Amino acid sequence: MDILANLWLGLSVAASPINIALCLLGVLVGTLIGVLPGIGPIATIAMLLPITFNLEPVGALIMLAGIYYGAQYGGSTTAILVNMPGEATSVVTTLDGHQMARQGRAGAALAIAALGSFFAGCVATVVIAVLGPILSKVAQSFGPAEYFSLMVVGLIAATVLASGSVIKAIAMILVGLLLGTVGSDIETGAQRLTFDIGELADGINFTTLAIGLFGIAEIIRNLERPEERGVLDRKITGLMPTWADIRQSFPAVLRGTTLGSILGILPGNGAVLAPYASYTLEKKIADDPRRFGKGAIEGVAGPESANNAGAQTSFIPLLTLGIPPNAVMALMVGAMTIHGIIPGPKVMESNPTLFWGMIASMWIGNLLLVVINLPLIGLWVRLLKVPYRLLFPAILVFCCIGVYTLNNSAVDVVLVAVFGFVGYGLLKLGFEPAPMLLAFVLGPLMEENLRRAFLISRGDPMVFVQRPISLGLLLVALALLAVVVLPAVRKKREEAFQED
Amino acid sequence: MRLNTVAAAFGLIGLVATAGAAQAQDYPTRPITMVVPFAAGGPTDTVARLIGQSMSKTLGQQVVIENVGGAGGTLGAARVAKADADGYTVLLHHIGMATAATLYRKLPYKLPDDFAGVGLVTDVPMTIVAKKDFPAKDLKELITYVRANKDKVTLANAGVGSASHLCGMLFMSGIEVSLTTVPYKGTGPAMNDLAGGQVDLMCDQTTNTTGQIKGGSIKVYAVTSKTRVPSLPDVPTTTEAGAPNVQVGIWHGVYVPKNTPAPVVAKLEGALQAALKDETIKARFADLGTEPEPMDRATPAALNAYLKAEIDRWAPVIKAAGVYAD
Amino acid sequence: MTRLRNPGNLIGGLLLIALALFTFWQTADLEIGRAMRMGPGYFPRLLAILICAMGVLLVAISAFTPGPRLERWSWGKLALVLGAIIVFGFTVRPLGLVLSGAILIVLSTLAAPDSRWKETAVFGVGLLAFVTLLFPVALGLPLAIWPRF
Repeated sequence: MDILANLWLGLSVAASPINIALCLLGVLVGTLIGVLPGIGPIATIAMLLPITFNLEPVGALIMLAGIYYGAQYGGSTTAILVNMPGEATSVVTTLDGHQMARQGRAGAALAIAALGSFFAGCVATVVIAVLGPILSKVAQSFGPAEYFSLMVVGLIAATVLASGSVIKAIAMILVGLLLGTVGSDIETGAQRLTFDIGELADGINFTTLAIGLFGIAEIIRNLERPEERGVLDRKITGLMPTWADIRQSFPAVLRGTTLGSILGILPGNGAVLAPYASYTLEKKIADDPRRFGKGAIEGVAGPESANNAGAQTSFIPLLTLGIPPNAVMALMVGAMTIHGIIPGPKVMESNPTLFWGMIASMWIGNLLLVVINLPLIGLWVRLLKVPYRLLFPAILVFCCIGVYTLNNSAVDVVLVAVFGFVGYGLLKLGFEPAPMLLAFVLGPLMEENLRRAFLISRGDPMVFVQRPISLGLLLVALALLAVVVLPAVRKKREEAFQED
Repeated sequence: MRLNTVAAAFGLIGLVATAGAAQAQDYPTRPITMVVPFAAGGPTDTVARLIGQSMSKTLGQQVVIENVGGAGGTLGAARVAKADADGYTVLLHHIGMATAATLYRKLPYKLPDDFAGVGLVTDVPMTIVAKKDFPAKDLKELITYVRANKDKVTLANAGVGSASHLCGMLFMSGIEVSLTTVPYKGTGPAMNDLAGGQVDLMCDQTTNTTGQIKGGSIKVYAVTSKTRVPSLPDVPTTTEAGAPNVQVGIWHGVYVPKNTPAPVVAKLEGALQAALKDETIKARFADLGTEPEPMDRATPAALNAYLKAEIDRWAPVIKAAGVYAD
Repeated sequence: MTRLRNPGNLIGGLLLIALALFTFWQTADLEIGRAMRMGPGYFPRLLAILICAMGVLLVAISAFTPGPRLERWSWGKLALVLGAIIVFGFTVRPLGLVLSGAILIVLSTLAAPDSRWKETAVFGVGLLAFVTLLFPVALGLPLAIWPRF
């Protein structure tokens, strides 16, 4: 019954008027910056840190956490409406979400994303409360070998993201991996493919790449084909999902929530894999996988739930171990230290009001988000009615400001233009950018952990099969490979026959 | 409405000739940009935001933090080196300012000539830590063990040029042994693998280790400062524990571009010293496991001399390790 | 000249091969190391080899299977939008947010097939006022609003 008492303690902290107000402020700011293309939670939280100096630590952290998961909600809105993923985790949402919008079902896509996220958020909160401390210990047994094997699984899953040619998808994955190697070598500091541009020493920024490849390329494509864009502002069928939609989505939401909750706990930023894993799963178990990429609602519901569940459970490594799994959590560490709380395994015992208050606030925040977002759907959908000649310069302005403020440097802005060109070229030649983005995110993690595993094992490759979790993951990877490759081979054969 | 908006609007319609050439006596008449050459949220950023907030009060103008991350802090330093020498662009950098002189063979600026010091801010001590079931009882045993098992022991760090990398190099050269170093991208993942027992040793700032030490997830052997650290009173210094040549701190300093007028530097120095005397700053620094520098170190002369000394001190250590960041 | 059967795959494949060769050239001075003890050059070059293989495969396929015809490129619109972005990148620091934002809006609107300048002017002023209030003022981002003389 400890947990009930703890949750009660947390609720009593989080439900104080000032903390509810801060939570609301946080999720509002988060939704706003999430919706604006190019502006991410990292820049916003960094800028708002000084404002929190004068707040109570619990209130400050509740607000900052609200910005983080609020931005996850808002990010899916932009992904669905204008095909612009602002975060690594909303790339998958563009695949089917934007297709739904093109079919006049933007309202249903937004609503199912919000409802799925809410459900996932509620479950993940309970998971954190009940299992957090235990699971985090298990998660810490993940070493370099395990992370490497996990990334292998992720990369094989990446091929499933493409709906066209498998060879082209593999080529895109390899190019994504290559882009991921740009920057200083982790071990020797040697510059790889940086062309003596100092700004590239830390690698290419994800936002820069995603906005260029997806957003800018999409804008130019819309400009050259006004008639296709026209579909978007004409018939909009129903703002809410139908019962059939909900029946179809619910199992996907359940599976997505489970996957997201598990992956989010990994301190090595497992949450980034969650939406991809969910999309792969949904596409593979669907009766008719061909619907995916053409507006399948499960392709929105599953990944969005996984995304939000992962976003919440990624607080577990921070709160129970004191280890930040991603850049936003690293900022939360900064916020905690500024307030005199040194993150570590003792935070839960030494600051129970903070720990449980934050957890309870996440549930309140999710409730606020769904209450805010459902009525907003009408407004967002109406945004599509704004003539494109006005909408796209506005998108460009937000993208450019957002990218510029990443490092306050012109180089990032120029890179957006470069990747915009690449993205347009890929569209024209029939290559799909989604697998490339996933590979870009996973590649550095994979190479690092591979090299680290070899360093620790003194060059013994057996570590990958001697450690049970790593072995298990590699077996999953093999199974997945079979699932991916076999149908492709069969299809190729059929095509070959048809040709004769 | 912000003052700079108003002032700049005036400039636009031509009523104010130049903002850049404002008299040094009036300084500051507009917000000051403090460049932090690292991402927001890290330990250096935290120090800058604490100091900047307090300096704003003394100077009567907002001190805006601008994070210009990348290339081990050299991008941010380069921006300040190239900025106007009017006191409106200042740099807050740590020990990496000095080590970059050797770590980077082609720096876009000259060290130490392109900068003028304002003062030292704080000297964050380092801790030598190990996974919690590491066999050695104290630092002496650790050194004996490491020497005997140098093929087995692994030393983690947070990447080339990071505080933990520097301290690790100094540790290895101090006890004359070479270990397998395992690099990570940042302190978080390195700490995760140390707490999870995947790697054996690390040397990192108290800012990053205190929480884990107090939580019992890692073992601490020594602090690398001259005196014991108030937040870890039971931990001996390296001198007490038998490794006197492993002494290192992550010192932070405030710089302006060279040729900044002396009265401007003096105003900044005054504001920095006032910040270091601020009780809330003292308290926050204590939480971070460090303390403000004494007033005689928070001066241009002290920082200029220290920067030179540190450049000379690290050059042989880095050259011996043979690791360069470019 | 006979029409190419699958120009998308052919050109894509050739570009991949070019990318692979470029990578080889650029990473020539990086140490390779061994599989068990990789140097900085190992992973990029391994990828370059695989990318090259995929490129060859695509070129080969393009000789045997038909594909859709190559779409026309709208070079003008592409240049305007990308140019607008690049100009913004280089002007935002010296000219400030308002002026460089205005340039971005004007240049990109030139690419719209149905631009109406009066409408764009009104909308642009509102947009710039909004972003100025939001980013430098409310969020405190270090962006200059006006040019500094």
